Amino acid sequence: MKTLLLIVSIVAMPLVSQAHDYFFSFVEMEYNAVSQRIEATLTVTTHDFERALEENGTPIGNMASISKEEIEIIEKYVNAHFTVKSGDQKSVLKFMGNEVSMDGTSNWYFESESIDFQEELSIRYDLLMDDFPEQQNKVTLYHMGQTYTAAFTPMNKTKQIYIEN
Amino acid sequence: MKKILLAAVLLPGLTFAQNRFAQLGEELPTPNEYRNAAGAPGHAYYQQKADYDIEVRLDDKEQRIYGEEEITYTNNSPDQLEYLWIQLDQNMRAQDSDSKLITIEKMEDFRSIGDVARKTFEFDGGFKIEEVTTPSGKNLKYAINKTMLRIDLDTPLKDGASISFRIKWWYNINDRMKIGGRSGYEYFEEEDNYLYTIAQWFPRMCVYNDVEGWQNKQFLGRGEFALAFGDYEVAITVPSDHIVGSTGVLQNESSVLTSEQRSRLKKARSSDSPVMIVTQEEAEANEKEKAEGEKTWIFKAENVRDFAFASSRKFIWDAQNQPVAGKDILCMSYYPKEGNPLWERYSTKLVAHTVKTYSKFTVDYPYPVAISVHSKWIGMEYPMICFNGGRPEADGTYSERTKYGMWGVIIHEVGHNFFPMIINSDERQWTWMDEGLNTFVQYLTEQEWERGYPSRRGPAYMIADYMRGDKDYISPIMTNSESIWQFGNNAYGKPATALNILRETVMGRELFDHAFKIYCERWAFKHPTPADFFRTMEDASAVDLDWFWRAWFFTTDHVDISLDEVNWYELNTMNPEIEKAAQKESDDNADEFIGDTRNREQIEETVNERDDNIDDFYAKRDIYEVDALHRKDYEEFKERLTEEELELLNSGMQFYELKFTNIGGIPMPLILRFTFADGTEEVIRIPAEVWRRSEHEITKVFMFEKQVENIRLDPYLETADTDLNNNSWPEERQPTRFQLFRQKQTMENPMQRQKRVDELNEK
Ligand SMILES: [Zn+2]
Repeated sequence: MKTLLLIVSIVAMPLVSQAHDYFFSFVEMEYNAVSQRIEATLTVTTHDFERALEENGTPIGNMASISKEEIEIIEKYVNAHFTVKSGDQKSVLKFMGNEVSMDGTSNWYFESESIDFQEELSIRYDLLMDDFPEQQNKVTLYHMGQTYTAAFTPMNKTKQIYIEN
Repeated sequence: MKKILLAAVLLPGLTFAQNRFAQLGEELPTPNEYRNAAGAPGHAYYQQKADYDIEVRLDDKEQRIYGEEEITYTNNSPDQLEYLWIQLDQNMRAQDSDSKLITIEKMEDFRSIGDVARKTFEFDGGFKIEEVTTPSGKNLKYAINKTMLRIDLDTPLKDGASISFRIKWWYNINDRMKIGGRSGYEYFEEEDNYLYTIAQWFPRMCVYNDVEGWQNKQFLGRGEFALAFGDYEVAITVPSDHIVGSTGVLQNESSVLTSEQRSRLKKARSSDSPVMIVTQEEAEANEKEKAEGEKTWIFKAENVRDFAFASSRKFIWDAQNQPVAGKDILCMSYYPKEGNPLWERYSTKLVAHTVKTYSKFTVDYPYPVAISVHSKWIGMEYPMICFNGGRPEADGTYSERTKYGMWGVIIHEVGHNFFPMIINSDERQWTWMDEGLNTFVQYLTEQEWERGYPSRRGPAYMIADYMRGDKDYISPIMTNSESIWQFGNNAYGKPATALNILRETVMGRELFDHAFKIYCERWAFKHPTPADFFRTMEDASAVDLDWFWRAWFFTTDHVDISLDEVNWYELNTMNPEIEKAAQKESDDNADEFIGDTRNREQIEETVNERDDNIDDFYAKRDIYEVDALHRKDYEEFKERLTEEELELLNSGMQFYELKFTNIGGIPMPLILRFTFADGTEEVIRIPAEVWRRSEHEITKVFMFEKQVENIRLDPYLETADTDLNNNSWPEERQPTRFQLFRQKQTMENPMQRQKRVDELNEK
């Protein structure tokens, strides 16, 4: 059976073989049991993130000072590439702020709408993987005094974490 | 009987497999006459020599390279060579190349029309070899296997003998901006001009040595190069209005430079700040007209492992002198107007700073020139010359991030002159040996450029995210370049961090710097392997580092040491006056069961209070009373002690027994900061060898004259500990990044703040 290939963007960004690739992003998150929200910090190579958003057809002018419209773009983009599923609930992240560091990384702060944390969490984390085949992502979850980690690659975009509630 | 025997037989094997402090016996090759056990070149060390005489023409109309070379290859090995291997790196871009075939693809890779265009893009890359002959023109027998060319010799090349042969070739230069690459061209459409950064442009000899025989592993695009040293004479023919920057020293200034340019260059040779050789104004005038004729620039380079050049009519050119150990080094930059204002201001100064600082930590920079060439994005290194990104916006503004990006890439690429151009490790096999060591010295150099420079890699704590937890997609550093997961963290970040930890925490700066310099001096202009590095660092410092190499370079373990428990003790003085009183005080202050309290109030009189005949000896005894016998015992006890012992006994010494668990696997030193009740602090450093006899769990006792209020493990973030939540007593959770961000936040949310920014901008 043939599936029609949907071309989603028309921006052609050359993929340069960077002699000094990073291709690593990281989410540190904690479940706030009081607010029942996920508090997450995405740490990413700013330049990679910038390029992925360009490739997505939604370039951001200045990562250090983003507009209201751009916040929506980033929320949409991050929610499309980072989700936590718990039972039939799925995380919806709201942008809380960001900090761009001069060492080339930036932190992006998100809080989810309330979500019930069940024993099994299914995390999909494929941020930047469409653009950089070498991309690897990692999650650290702090929950009830325990630490859980999971690593993601383009061949393994979804992982399960079993938590002790 | 049988059981005990069994345990005795099994145990040695078991402990060997598990011992993190075992010597690296099996992991490292046996020392021999070529590479000795101290990590130095052995008494029979040899290396081959490859000298090149090349004529090359850059065709600016077709974007092609036409070349003809005579290679003189000297066999210094004790072996006879029946054939020679030569690298054809451009063949990586040939249409049938393996690099394309072995790339994993999914439909998601064809998401945008750009992706599709890229995947279906046909580029006729690869060397077109026209002739392989003797110097007199007689055809030689040769065979090509993808990126490798073999010449079959009629008679084997004897040890100590040389052979010369000629190769003629051409190839299409790749558009670096469209299909990528370490070299290629950038096309400036508006003015119809090209900027060429040309490398891997000629058939180059493979390395033949005692380790690999011929290092003829195919070039797949990632593991870079293994190259022999030699002398080069290269004649580069380009359009007559081009400016050429190149490996080596220009031999014919008078036929390619104007007299004005030559006199500026002369001035630059003694100037400690950049002097313009071609100004922006001159370059802008030059790029507008296209000359028809050609000019040939001749360069000579001695004892280099490769040769690269850049050419464009767009080039601005500046230069300054940097003395190193009494020798003058001409530091230069070539960049188009698009690189300004950043490049004119910083590039050459960064080159000079890098050459000077690396010379301090490694070996004196041995070459007469050091060059930085502007390219839009990439960073790529060659002997004496490198191509570096960092382009301002079209309007001439740039972000602070772009500035630091450019600084970092220039320091890094110029730094590559030392690793691997001079200390010539095998990049195809071990990326970390040049990238890791270079990234480490890059960090040191950045910190000397600007106080508090925001280095991306180096500080221990910055590698923690990568190393912690799930190890599904992490490789040990000691992994072949083509098989590494997470190239950047694995081959750059982790080894650079490991060296930083050795320098700051395990060895100390003095021992480390000495040993590191010895390694660089021993292996300058030679081909070192990982074992040579590991052995030299130990041999020159008398620090046994096998456990460190094992953990950091041969495993994917991480650092997570947890401070689990603290037990507090005080010395028993044996003095009954003190101990009985202390006992009483302690008992008096003990928590009391509520029933006892209430009974005391509510029961008016008990039987024994009423009836004198109830209480006997035991009931009447005061257990806190000090009697004559107590005193006599104590006096006798004291007589057995020396005066010093007695003093110690009465010093009020506090004992803390700390229990640690090694969760992550890597044994690391314990750096402990004790904060006392009086607010003072003491830092105690315990070497990693404390884990030698018990790898998972240890206890250690600390004695103080004061009471400890707080203990922190790794308080200066120097061990790359991935979990700081188990590093404190009393237990103290570190705030998450999100919580830290929250703490910094005012009541204003980012949108509200942006509103204020917008309002301000409207005014
Ligand atoms: Zn590098």
